Amino acid sequence: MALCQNRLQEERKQWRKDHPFGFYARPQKNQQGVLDLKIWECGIPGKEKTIWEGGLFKLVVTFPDEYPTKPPKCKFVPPLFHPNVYPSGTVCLSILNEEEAWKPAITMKQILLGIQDLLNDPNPESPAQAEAYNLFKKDRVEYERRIKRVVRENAAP
Amino acid sequence: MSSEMPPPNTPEEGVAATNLSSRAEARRIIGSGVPSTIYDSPASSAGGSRRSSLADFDPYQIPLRAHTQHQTEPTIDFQALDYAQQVDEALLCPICHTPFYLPMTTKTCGHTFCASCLDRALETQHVCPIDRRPLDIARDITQTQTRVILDQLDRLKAKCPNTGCDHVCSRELLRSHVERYCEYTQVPCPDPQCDETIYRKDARPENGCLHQVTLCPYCETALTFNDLERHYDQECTGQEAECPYCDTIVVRHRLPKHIATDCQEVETHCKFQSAGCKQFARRKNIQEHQKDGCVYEAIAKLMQAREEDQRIITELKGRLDALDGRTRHLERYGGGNRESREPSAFTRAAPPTQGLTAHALNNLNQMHQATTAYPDVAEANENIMLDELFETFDQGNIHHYESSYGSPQVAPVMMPPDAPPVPWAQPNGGGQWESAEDYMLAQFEAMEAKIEDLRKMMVELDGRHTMRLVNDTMRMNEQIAELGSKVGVLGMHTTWLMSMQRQSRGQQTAAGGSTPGNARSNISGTGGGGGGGSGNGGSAGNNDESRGRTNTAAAGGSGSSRTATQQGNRNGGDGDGARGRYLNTSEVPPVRRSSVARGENPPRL
Repeated sequence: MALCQNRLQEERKQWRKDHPFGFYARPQKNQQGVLDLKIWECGIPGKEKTIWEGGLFKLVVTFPDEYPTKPPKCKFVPPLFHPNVYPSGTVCLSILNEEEAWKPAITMKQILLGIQDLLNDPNPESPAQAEAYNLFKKDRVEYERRIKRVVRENAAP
Repeated sequence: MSSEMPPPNTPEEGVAATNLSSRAEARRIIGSGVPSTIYDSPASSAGGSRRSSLADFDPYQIPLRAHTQHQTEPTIDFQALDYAQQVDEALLCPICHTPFYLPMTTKTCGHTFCASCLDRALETQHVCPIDRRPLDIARDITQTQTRVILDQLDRLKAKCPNTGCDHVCSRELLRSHVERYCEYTQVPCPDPQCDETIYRKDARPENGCLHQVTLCPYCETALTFNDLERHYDQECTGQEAECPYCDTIVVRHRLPKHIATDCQEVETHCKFQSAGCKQFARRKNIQEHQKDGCVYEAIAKLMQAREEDQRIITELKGRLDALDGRTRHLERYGGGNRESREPSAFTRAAPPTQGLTAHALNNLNQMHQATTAYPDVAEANENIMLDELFETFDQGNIHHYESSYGSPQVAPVMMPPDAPPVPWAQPNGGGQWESAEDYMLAQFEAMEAKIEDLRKMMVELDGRHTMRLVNDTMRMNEQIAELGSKVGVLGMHTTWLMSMQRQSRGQQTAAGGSTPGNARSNISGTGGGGGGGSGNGGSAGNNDESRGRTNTAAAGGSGSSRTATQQGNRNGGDGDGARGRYLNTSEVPPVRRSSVARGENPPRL
């Protein structure tokens, strides 16, 4: 528990010191107005020169008590149209899977950059939602049209 | 990692190898299955017995761990420390992202983590937290041994984790700071009946127990004395107070200050009251009054300037007095250091004085305009002081002119009769000085003349001293020579007596074993022997006599510091001459001479 809090403090410090352009990540405030380090609100911009450019996708990152031994859970709010995003909005990514590639050394910055990469580079090996996956597989034009709509809906300010 | 320190005044202090204990702690944390017996001895349980008497209570003698009763639990969360400096990223644990605490390194891949972090990471998966390579907890993990890394970690400047304490020290010293010295460490209440903890700074036996319940005088919340201060500052609902004059709400603590300086409604004096302004009204009116220009403002400014002047003058007077004292002292005891050939103190002091005179003249030629701000005299060194001095005098003049031309009615305030007059207005030797420059120049000249006099005196004294020294040494040399010759005389006498004794003993032995005739021939034989060598014994006797004479001659004042051997040589020569004289003139036979010597010498001694 203490380790989790300390690590999150350090993550926050590091993020405030240096974070990639266009991203944001801040711990949420709970009902009492006290910062809850275990729930962060983040924003991931679509990568430049991709169909995702111009969008800003909101993400809630929830850290378990076992963090950093266990990975945080990342969830797009509202759920994102993407082959590797579950209908609930949860991101399916290897580095976020304890059984696969999660390492305690992975930082917040790496997670968010990894998700940004995933947007334009979906992994067809692990589909998470049928609609986006099917379109991505079968009708790339329609898929890209849908993405553009999503980007318009989540346009960066 | 010497941060692991045993509590003071326990058997462990200075006994347990700190490295061992930290290693044991690391091993305990990592849970490698290796039984740790090194740190099994409880650190301290003396805390309770020490608290038996309130009078003996010393908050600095209580280690924190004696209270918390977790001997091996680190009292400081080293992973939550704030560091006073930027820490190199290479020293950060990849898991907790803080500088390593009790670092452990994997043998297989060489990655380093805090012991506790690695332990936590390995709870779920037995893989390296960086490259996910399989790790055998018992075999593949070792404590980091690299001294360079450990030293760097020890030296990191960390802030004290206690709220309120702003102490910063290297990390290895932090534990001892927190456990023994930090004023904000929670220590047991000095009252043995009380089980609460209290800041070390409040744990004074004379304070007694601060955990008695009291009521906040403002909001009537029940709380302990210990919490009262914090309660006032943070949570007391009665913390706001209404200003009785202006009805504004201010924090209760600030009320006195508010009334004293801020409140617009409270009645107050004009800030130029000291200058004679009689205005007494509400502050807002007073402020208007001051903005419109209080007539006393000019006076106040002048008075302020005058006070400043006065201060500088007093300081300079003090300096002058000190210098005068020094001069007098040197005049009186100037001969004190006449051992040195030159009056160094004065030769050293003189050139700067001349330099300063030139500097002062230069300054006076420029004639500064008066400025409103005065330089800070307190921090000025001696040279700067002089600069300021002239500036001040310039300003003083201008003030003077202002007071006499600008507003004549102000003059009495400016120069009250009881105020000490400015120095250059004093009659000094010749008479009234026209201006500060004249006064200062005259002072300089007088000082220089004094110094010149002193230098002359020093030279004179030096000469006199050298003379006396030479005279004294001459007399001493003579006395030493005399003493040397006397020692020689005594030595010769001893030799003579010894030889005499040896002779008589020889005679006695000869007489004991032979006839009287033999004895006589023996005597003549000895006598002949003495005479044949022109009388060894005789020469000794003559030497004595002649040396007695040379002694008196030496005492007459040869003034040389010759050694006894030189004298002995000369005396020997004299003795030869004397012996020749004896032999030639009186022709005393050797045997008789020896008898004469035997009969006459003792009285001469």
